[in-house]
Amino acid sequence: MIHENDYRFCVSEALKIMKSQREKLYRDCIELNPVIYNGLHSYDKSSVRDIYFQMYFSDWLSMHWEIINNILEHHKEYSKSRKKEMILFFAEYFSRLSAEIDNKSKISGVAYPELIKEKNSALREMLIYSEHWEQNCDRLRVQMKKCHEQYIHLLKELEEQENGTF
Amino acid sequence: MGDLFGAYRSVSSEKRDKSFETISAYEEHYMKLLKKYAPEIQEIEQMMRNLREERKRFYLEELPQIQHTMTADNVLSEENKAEWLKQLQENMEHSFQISEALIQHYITKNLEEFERELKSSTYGG
Repeated sequence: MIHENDYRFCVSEALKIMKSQREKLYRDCIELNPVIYNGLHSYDKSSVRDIYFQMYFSDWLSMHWEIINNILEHHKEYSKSRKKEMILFFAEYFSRLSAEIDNKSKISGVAYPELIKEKNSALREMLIYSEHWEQNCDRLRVQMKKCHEQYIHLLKELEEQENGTF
Repeated sequence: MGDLFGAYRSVSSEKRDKSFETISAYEEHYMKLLKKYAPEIQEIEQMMRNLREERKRFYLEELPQIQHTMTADNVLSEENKAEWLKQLQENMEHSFQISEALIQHYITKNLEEFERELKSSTYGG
């Protein structure tokens, strides 16, 4: 059970993170973020556009989790058991956001289903098997990094295919 | 059969302590608790107001600005623009909903604490 005063801290930090990431999303649109605008200027194939868009939102989502982890890592005063309860609190809300965004990836068919499955599995297991929270937390961070690398790899392959046709 | 369990759901009239002193003490405690929780109540109100204003700003100001930026950057494909705006709005909305759920959690926890403190002084204090 989450410590009485910790839920105030958790809610307050989670709200700040959600707001900061919404602001980032707006700024990236206005400041011509390259991933977004490469997608917008992809005229040949909608699949290329979709990959850019999905990559952007996958990275945007991952940033929420990274920030939470960084905040907790900097709070040396929190015991391991308190950090655990807080991570599980965040994981619950994060998994809701992740589920919505990942559904889009599956529908558009451009993302790697096995990576999404692995990421969601890490989240789910963190919530169910709370005693393995640290391992699942690390597993989740690795999966997020893998997602990003796979999108880059996919885009590179498509570019090479296009160049090969000239 | 009538209401067999009615007597167990609330304190029956003959058992209620209606003395002025008891009611007065209860109300005094309730007001003290309200005063104690006033900053929390204000904080919740502020959170809800901030979220409402942020959402309003996104739809009324930021979204038109984003559309203008795309046009200014010569994004020629209407299909691409439409797809990006659709995903942008959907994911912003998911994010707003998560923030709402977080505030709701905060409200629920505060209510539970308030009720616990009220009960503990009423029955055990």
